[in-house]
Amino acid sequence: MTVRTRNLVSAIAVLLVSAYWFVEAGGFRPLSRIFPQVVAGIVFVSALTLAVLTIIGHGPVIQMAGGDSGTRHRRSATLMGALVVWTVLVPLIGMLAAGAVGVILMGVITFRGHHGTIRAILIALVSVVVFYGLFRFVLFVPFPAGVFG
Amino acid sequence: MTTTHTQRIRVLALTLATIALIAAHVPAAGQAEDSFPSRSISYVIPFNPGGQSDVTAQYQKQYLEEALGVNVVIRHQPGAGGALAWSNLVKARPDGYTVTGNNIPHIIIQPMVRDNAGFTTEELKPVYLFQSTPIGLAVAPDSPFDTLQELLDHAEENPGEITVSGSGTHSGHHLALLQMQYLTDTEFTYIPATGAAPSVAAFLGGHTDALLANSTDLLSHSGDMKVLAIGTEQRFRALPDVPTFIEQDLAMTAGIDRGVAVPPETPDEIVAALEEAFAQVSANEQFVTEMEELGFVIHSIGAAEFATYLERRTEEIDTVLRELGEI
Amino acid sequence: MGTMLTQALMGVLDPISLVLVVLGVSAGILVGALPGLTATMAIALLVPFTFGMAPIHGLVLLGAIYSGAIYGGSFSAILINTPGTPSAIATTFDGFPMAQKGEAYRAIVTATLASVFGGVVGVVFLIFLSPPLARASLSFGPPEYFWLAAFGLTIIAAVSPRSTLKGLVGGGIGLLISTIGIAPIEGSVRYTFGTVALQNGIALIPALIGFFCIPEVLRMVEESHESGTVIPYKRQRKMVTRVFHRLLRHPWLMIRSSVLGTFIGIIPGAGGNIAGLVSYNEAIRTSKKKSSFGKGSMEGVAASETANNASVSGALIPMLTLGVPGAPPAAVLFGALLLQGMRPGAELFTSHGTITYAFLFSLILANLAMLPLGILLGRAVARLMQQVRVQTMAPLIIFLSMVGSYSIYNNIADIYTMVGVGLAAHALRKAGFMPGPIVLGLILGPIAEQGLTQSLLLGRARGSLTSVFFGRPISLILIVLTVVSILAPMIVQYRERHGKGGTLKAVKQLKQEHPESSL
Repeated sequence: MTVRTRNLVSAIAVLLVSAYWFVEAGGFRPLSRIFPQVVAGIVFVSALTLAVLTIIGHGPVIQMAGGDSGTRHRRSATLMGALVVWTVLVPLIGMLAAGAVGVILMGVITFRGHHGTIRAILIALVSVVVFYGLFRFVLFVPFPAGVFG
Repeated sequence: MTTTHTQRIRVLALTLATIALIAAHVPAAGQAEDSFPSRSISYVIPFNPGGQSDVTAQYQKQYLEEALGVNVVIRHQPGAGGALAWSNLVKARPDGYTVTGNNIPHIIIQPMVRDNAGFTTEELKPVYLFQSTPIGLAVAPDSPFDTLQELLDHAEENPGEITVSGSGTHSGHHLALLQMQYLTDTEFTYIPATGAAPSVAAFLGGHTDALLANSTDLLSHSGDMKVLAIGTEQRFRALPDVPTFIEQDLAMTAGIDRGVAVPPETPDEIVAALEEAFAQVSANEQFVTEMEELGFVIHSIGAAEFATYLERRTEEIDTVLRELGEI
Repeated sequence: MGTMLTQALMGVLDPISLVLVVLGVSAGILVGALPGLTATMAIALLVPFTFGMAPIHGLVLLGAIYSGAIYGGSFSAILINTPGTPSAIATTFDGFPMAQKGEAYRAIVTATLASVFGGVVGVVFLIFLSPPLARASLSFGPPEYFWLAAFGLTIIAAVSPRSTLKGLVGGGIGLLISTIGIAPIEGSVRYTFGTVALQNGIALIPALIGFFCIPEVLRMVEESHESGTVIPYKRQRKMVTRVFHRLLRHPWLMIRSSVLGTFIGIIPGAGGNIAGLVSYNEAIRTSKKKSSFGKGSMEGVAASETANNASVSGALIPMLTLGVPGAPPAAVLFGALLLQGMRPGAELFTSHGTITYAFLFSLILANLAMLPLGILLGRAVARLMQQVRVQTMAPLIIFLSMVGSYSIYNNIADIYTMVGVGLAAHALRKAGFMPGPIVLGLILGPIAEQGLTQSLLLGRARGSLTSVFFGRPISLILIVLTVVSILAPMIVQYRERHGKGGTLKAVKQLKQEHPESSL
C-alpha cells in the first residue's frame, strides 16, 4: 500500500466516523449534543481537506520508519493476534495463567535461537510470577481468577 | 538459525504444562468456608478517594475489622456516577466478600433515567444504612437574599436567572433542586459539575449565585456562605441557626444517604453477619462523635428497614420525576 | 510564629520522618515508573496505613510518594516511550528520542535535575503564596476552563511537526473519543453501543498506556533483529555536572516552567496532566532552535519535568487553603488529612501549624532526595534495560501494563480498553496519526465540553452569551494566548519561506531532488 493510498483510505475512514458521530448525536438532549456535533463537524471538514489534498497530490507524506516489507507486516499481524489471544484468556484462566501463556506465546513468535530464547522466556515467566505475587498479596489487588477460581 | 520441529514441540509442551500447573493452583470455588468471614473483605467505594463515601469508609475500617475479625480492604471504582461499581456488584459472587457502598438517591434515580444502567435498584441487596449528609442551600455572604423566601420571590419574577451549583446531573443535589422547583413553581438554572468539590469551588469563586451542597461542605466553608435552608426533618445539630425547608413551608427533605449493599443472591446469614458488624460500628461512640464533628449524621438502619426505606423513596422520586417530565 | 516554624523544622528532621521521606520517594519513583500505576493509586493504597501513624509521619510519607511518583513517570517515558503517569506525556516527546540516540542516561539526569528544581520552586510558592494563589484558582470558572482547554489544544501544532492537518484530525478524534459515555450535562448516554461498560467512557490511564506502550512494544519486537536488546546505552562520566551546567545556561526556561507548572497545578481539574504539555509548548514557542524539539532536545525534557513536579505543590495549594483539590492525588491527601482530624483552611496553618509546616518542609526534602535516589535508580534501570533481551522485556511490559490498568479500578474492561486502544493506535500510527494529538484531545475533551456547556447555561441565565465567554479578565488573557499560540508558528513558517529569497530557492531545489519530503 503506498503512502498516498494509505492517506486517502484513512481520511475516508475518518470522514465516515465523524459523520456517524454527528448523526448519532442528533438523538441526544440539546446540551449533550452540542459538543460532539461541533467537534465532529470540524473533524469532518479537516478529513475532507486531507482527502482532497491527497487526491490533488499535495498531501502530507510521512515515511514510516522500517519500511513496508511483507515479512514485517506478517510478524506485526501475528504479534497483534497473540496479544488479542492473551487478552481473551485473562477472564478465562486468570491473570497469572494468561500472563504465562502470553509470555510463552510471544517468545515463540519472536524465536531467535535456542539458548537465548528459552532463557529469556524463563526470566520473563519468573518476573511475571514475582510481580503477580507483589500485586496480589502485598497490594491486595483481586485479579480475575478465571473459570477455575 | 532455523528452528527445528522438536524445538517447537518442546516449547508447546512447556506452555501446556505451565498452564496446567498454574490453573491447578488457582483457588477452586467450592472450597468449604468454615464460617463467614474467613478471609479479607473488599469494601468497594463507587466514588473517587477523598469524597464523603471514602472518608466514611476509612473511618469505619478499623471498627469493621474489629467486629469481623478479618482485613477490610477499601477499593475505589468510580465511574458513571457510581453505576460502574453497582453494575459490577450485581455480577459479583454473592459470598459476602464484596461489599459496595450504595448511595440514595443515586441508586434509585439512575435506573429510572437511563435505559440500561447495568443494575436495578432492587438488585442491590441492602445491608445497612449508616450515614447521611443533609443537603443545604447556600448563597454568598454578600448576597442580597437573606432568607429562602426572598430567593424564591426573586426566582418567581426572574425565571431561570438564578444559577445554582450542584454536584452533577441526576445527583442528590439535582433532585433537591427539582423538588424545590416543583413545590414552588419556580425556575432556576442548574449548573452541574462533576462532583461535590468542583461544584463548591464554582460557587466559592462567584460563578454561580447559589449552591446546593452536602452538610460536610457547608460546615467546612461556613464562613464563606449564608446557608438559607437545610434538608433535615428537624433542625440540624451542626447548623442550629439554619431553618429547615419544612419550617419554611416547603414539604421536602434533601440529603444523600449512604449504606452498603451486596449482590442480589447473597444468603441471608451472610447479610445478617455483615449487618451486625456495621451496627457495631454505628454504635461506637468515638466513631459517631468524630463523624458528627465533620458534619455527617450517623444512622443505625438495618437491612429490613433499609429495604422499606428504599421502596418508599423510590415511589417518592418516581412521582417527582414524572411530574417534572424527566422520565 | 517563630516557635511554630522551629518546631516544624524539628518535626521534619526527626529520624522517622527522614526515613519515611527516603522510603516514600523511592516507592513513589517505582510506582510512577511502572506504566499503569499512578500517584493517585499509590497514595490511595497507603492512606489506611497512615491512619495509625502520627499525623506528621503519615503526611510526610504521602507527600514523598506524590513527588516521587510524578518524577518517576519520566523513567518509562524516556525508556519505553510510555508516560508512567499522565503528567509525563510531554516528556516522551523528547525523552524517548534521546534514548533512541543512546542518550538515555542523560535524559534521566535531565529529568531528575528538572524535577528537583521544579518541585522545590513549587513548594516555595506553596509556603509563601498559598492564600492569594488559592483565591486566584477559584476565579477559574466555566468560561476560563473552556479557553484553557482551547489553549491546550493549540499545543497540537507543536506536537505534530510533520503535518499539522493530521495532528488536527488526530486531536479531533481524541475529542470525539472523550465524548463516549454519559454526558456531563443533561446526562444523555452517548456512543455506548448498548454496553454498560462503555458508560464510563474510555478510561484515561488504560488508553494512555494503549496509545503509547503497545505500539512501542510491537515496534520493539519488530525491529530488534541483531542484538536483541532494546535501548543502546552509552556510559558517560560526570553526567550530572554537565547537565547541571547546561541547564544553568537556560535560566528562563527553568523559571518559566516552574512558575507555569505551579500555576496550572492550582487550577482544579487541569492539574499535572496539562502542566507538562503547556510548559513544553511554551519552551518551543520561545526557543531559537525550534526544529530541535521532538528529536531529542534536553530542553524539552527539562520543560516538561520541571513543570509537572511544580504542579504537585500547585495542586496542594487550593487543597490546603480551601479544601478544593487541584488534582486527584491532592484529593486523596485531602481525605488523609480529614482522617487525621485536620480540616483544610486557616486553622491548618495556625492551630495545626506545626504539622502543616513540617509537611511543607518535608516536601522540600523529598524533592532534594529525588536527586541521589533518582540518579541511582535511573542508572540501575537504564543499565538493566540494556542487558535485558526483547523477548523478556516485551511480554513483561505488556503484563505490567495489564496489571497496572486493571489495578486502578479493578475493572477488567480497562484491560480491554488498553489492548483495544493499543491496536487501534498501531494502525493509526501506520496511517500517520501520532498519539500525541489524540491523547491531548482525550484529556482536554471533558474540560472543554464542561466549560462550554456550563458557560452556555450561565449565558442563558444571565441573558448574554458574549459577556460570559468574552467578558472576564482571565478569559481574555487565555483567548489572547490561544490566538498567539495558533498564529505564532504560522508567522514563523511564513517568514522562513518568504523572508529571504535565497532560502526559498534552496527549499525549491531540495524539493526537486527529494519530491517525497513533506512541507
